[in-house]
Amino acid sequence: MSKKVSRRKFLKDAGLFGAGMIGVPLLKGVSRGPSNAWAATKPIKFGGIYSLSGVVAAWGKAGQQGAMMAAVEINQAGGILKRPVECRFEDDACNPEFGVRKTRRLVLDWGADFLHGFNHSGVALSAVPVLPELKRMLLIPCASSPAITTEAFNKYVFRPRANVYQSGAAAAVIAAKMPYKKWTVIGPDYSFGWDAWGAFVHHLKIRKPDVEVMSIQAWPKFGAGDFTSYILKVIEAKPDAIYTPLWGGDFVTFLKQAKRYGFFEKMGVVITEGGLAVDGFYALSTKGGTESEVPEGIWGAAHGYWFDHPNTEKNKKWVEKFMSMYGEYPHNVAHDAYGVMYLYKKAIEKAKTIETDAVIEAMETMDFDTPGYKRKMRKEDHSAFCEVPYGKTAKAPEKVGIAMNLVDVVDASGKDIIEPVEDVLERRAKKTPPPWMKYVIKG
Amino acid sequence: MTFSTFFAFFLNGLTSAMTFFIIASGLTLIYGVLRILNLAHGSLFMLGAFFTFQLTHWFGNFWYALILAPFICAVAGILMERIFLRPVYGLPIPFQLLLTFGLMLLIADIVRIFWGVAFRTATEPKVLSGAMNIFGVSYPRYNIFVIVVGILVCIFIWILLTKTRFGKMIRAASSDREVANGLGINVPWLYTAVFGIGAYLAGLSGVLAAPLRSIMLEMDVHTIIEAFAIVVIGGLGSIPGALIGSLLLGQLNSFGTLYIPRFEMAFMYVFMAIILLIRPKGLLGEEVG
Repeated sequence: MSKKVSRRKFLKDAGLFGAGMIGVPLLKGVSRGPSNAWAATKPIKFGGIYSLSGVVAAWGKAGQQGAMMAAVEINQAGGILKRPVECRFEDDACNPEFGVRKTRRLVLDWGADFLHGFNHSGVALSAVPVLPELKRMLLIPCASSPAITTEAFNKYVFRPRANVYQSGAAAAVIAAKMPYKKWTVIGPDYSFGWDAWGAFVHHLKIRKPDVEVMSIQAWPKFGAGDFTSYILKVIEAKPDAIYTPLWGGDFVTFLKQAKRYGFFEKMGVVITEGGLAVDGFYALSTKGGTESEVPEGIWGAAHGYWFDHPNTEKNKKWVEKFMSMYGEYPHNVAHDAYGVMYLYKKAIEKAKTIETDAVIEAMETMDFDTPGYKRKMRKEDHSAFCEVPYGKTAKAPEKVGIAMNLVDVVDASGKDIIEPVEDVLERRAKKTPPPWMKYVIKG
Repeated sequence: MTFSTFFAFFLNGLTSAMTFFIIASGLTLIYGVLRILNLAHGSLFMLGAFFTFQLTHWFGNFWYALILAPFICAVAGILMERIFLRPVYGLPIPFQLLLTFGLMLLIADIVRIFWGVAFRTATEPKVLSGAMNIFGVSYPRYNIFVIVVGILVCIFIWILLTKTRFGKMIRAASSDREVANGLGINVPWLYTAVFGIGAYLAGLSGVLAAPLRSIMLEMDVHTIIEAFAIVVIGGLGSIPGALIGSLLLGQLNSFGTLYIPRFEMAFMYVFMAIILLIRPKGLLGEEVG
């Protein structure tokens, strides 16, 4: 129910939409701007490509929410270079082919000046190679495979947030302090899943060399819908602890199915990457959001942001404003998509033009803020130095609609967890697979 | 591998086999009698699952969904048959395929309008949550419930087809429509009834599957492909064939994940190809035509 209300509220508050989820033209002939003359100036067009349908639709919606919120604010404050911002969103349906087609369409048909988006790394990886041909920048607030900024890198792509190398490292900091030795994985069978697990083990081995990587691992298809045989397989392997990069709808389905088999009691600890996002908490809440199916003590914090952390005035105010607009807690993708729009603004204003090459140059070394964090772009691979939080689930009746919270949240420091730039450059030059792929074992 | 693991995997295979069977039996029944390959059958399954989400959401009770949702699907099926399928019975098969494919798209859009594009979940009733102990294996109660319902559906269909007057009429109409009509069987009415039963089974399968998986738009296509594979393996129009196909595929998926997960996605198709090479009519199929 909460989702429906929030969407209606979202439409009302934004007050800018025609109906329909896909390809929503907005801010056309903006009436809220300072003057009609301003509204008549040529807008700067931002095209967003997100997964607005399918198993991770909530993550796509979150990207749209965050980017929209920033766009409305930016226009209310006078736009960018005194020009209004216009946004349009396309649905990639988690399909690589659609991702490429919609990217092209946004630029060639609609005339997007800048691009942002992609929830699914597989889709992002297929779209990144077309950027040079389109001569458009792409800022990625969600898709987390390191391959995007190493093997597949070109100068048009930026990721102003953590990739899974960084979140894997942050998880390893937590895991290294735990007494568990035998680790295995249940994760989606594509680049993001492999990289997440590989990077996690890579870092865990550095911090705790005696950990054992089990050869029995579970790699179900992304969006499989039924994970029970994989759950049984992992239980049968009797690991001490498990890491899971299942995310979006997959994590929700997995959790519900795993609970039936007493999975969470049988594992020493469960650490997630991407699983504990706020949409999952909503989907797993029961009794009108006063109780939750999420077990206590699972570690996570999807993709480097949890709305209740950090406990700063700035973050709290932003969360409050977000809730008044959309009626729900902000998702990590909403946080990062919001950040993406402001990063664009900062870089365009520094470059004093919307010309792609100039904006790239301005952005490459930029310090920038999101509601939660201060981050810095790294020139060589357009990755960001950013802190990555990890916390564990605990009951929290005061959190309306989800009844859970993450507690004991620790931020891993940005400089400690980013992949060394030499490694990135070497891998990019030699096109070698990352060293952690050896930990991915498929039957 | 210990016995308990083997048994747990076996039960898992059986659970999916039963949801497979319930949907495939409806598909094959409709084909056997009406000679219609209903591509929208998976859509009725999807509707069943979404109704389950909605009804449990409204009433907080799975049992309402179990009783109501398949009936709503049956009514939807009856309307489909009366309004859309009736005019195409005499036409070549491509017309039927195009029509049912169109219905599949139509239902997907209806679901999109009412429930949006995000995935949904449904929860099993309290009595069936948690695990129970069978031969030393701790196994989810709800899965056992699905297996039991699957067996009951099997028995029900068998009695319906072999022991009742209605079953005789179905068999008569499926072997020769003209003669059955001549013998005083109301064939158009019978067709509607059979389509309704098929739709009911698709809906029932959707209800049972709902708490086991995520409920989403793409379910229709996945399901119709699986159901078709089962029906082709078992033999078009053969209900025992659908049962055997379902049991084989359920176990193949379950144990395949354990031993050769790399090829999990290919199992069904490879198996289907082998069967078609060896026995083009399917395991228990009769001459089609």
